[in-house]
Amino acid sequence: MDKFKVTVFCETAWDDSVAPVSYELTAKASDLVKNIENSEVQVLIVGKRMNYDDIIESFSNYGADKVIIVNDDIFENYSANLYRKAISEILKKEKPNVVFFGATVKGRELAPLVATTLNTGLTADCTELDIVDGKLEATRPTFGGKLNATILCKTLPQMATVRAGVFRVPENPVKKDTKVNFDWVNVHDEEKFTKILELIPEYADDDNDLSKAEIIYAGGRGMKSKENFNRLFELARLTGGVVGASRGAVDAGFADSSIQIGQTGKTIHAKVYVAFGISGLAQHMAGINSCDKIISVNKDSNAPIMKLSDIGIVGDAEEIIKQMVRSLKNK
Amino acid sequence: MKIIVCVKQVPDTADIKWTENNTLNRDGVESVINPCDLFATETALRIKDRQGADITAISMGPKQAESALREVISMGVDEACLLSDRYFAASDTAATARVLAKAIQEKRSDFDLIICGQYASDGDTAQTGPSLAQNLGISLVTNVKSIEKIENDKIIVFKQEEDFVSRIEAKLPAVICILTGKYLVRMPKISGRMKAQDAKIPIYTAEDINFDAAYSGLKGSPTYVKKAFRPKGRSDGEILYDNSAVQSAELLLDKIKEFKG
Repeated sequence: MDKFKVTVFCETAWDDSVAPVSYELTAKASDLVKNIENSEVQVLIVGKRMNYDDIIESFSNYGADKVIIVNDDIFENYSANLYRKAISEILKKEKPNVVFFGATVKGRELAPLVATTLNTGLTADCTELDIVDGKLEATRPTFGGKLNATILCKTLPQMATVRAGVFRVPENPVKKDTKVNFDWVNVHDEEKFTKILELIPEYADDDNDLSKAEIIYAGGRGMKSKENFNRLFELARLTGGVVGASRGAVDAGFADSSIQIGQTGKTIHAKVYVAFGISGLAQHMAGINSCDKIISVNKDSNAPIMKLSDIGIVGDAEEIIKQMVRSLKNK
Repeated sequence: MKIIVCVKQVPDTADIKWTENNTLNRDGVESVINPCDLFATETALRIKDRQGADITAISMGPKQAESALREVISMGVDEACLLSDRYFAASDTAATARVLAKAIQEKRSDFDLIICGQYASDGDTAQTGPSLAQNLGISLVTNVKSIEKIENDKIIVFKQEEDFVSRIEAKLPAVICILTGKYLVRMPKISGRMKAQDAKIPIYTAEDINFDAAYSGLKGSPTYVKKAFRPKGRSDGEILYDNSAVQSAELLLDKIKEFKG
């Protein structure tokens, strides 16, 4: 019987660090195949670096059976078509059953290019994954988040992308004895359709880091104005929290897209998530589901988020925020 | 400069409600142009303003999607065509991209640039644009904020990365996928509306574009939906009514303290 293979694309950032989602997916893949006889979790790394020891060590810890490395000067700077070709060539050779990419900017660009090259299907931004009788069952929110759909793929490899933070790495991973395989792909400079001319840093607000926050206050379209929305920053300052926004608030111009939470935004893991004037479409919920506690404030008791929260408070978000700030200042 | 803009008509997702029987009620749900595609259209029109361009809008969908194409013509797009065939219905992103690519090769193969929206508000997969680029075997840049310039055989764009912006040069022809932005999308002028009213919008079937219909629709799509269900909530949550703003504020502060531990 052929081996059942799951390949995870290892994404590296500009500083050569490995994107955490690559570890999360390796751990998830390892968990998914644990009851499948004769299975293999592979990690595919494309790039240019001096030393892979640390990366291999980390992937071993999260359950990789094999690490495939395509190392070449030409991959030093990211170019979509070169990476597409390298990944596709290796996958054609390895013939995995399942392939995962992180649903990062790069992953969302590369995965459909690779899927099209291999003439196979791809399911984007999955929030649940399962393998049943060799079939990948990939579940994702759809229809503006009102519906979850479980999607299957008729062709091989069955491909999916997953956002960072949807799955967590295990606290006590079981280290595997990982094989390392250096491979080579024939690519040429003429195939470099795009090149990076410049990297422009953006103003990063370190005091408002959503990924590490314990308390997050988020506002939605129900905040009604930018002025109201900005009161959340005061509330956050007084209680040691940070501020996030729903896509509705960003689209309405109340908040910057850099603090957007949800499927098309950041995924968070706060201890307490407080949502003001957010209706709670599944696209938003996909970004907050791994928070320990969810509290929502909404004037509409039928807003979807009310049923999805630990505590739903029916009331006027604007007034309640004002009262919270007042109360905190009086203490 | 010949530009193709891909436009999708989507249901206004804010209008979709759950019925008591756990089905989606789409009655009376309005169809709108996918928001990212409006920015894609605006981007094409700005290139036309700056250096001149012929812009063709293309859409795949039911006959009613023609209204979306008339709308972008009223904004200033020169021509449009609709790909509509019962064999196209229920195509996934891979199949949709195949149809679009074939139509472009058959009907508009002399293009320089294809502009798509980064994602559609209904499916939100962000896959059709990249898959189209690969079917055509040309350059792709996704997550594009804006175009810096187009010269000779290349385009330079600003791309939103995870934590910063990159400036990228791509060989033409290329597909670029545009994000929504803070700039305004133009409103149609009256003259534009009149032009849109009279515009002839050809409707192409699979046969018209020499497309083998076995590769589109439900049968021709590599993926399929096994089941769809309502997202489930937290089981033991409670909803509190009838508190004053002061009471709610105090309750919230207490709970935040408690949950933070």
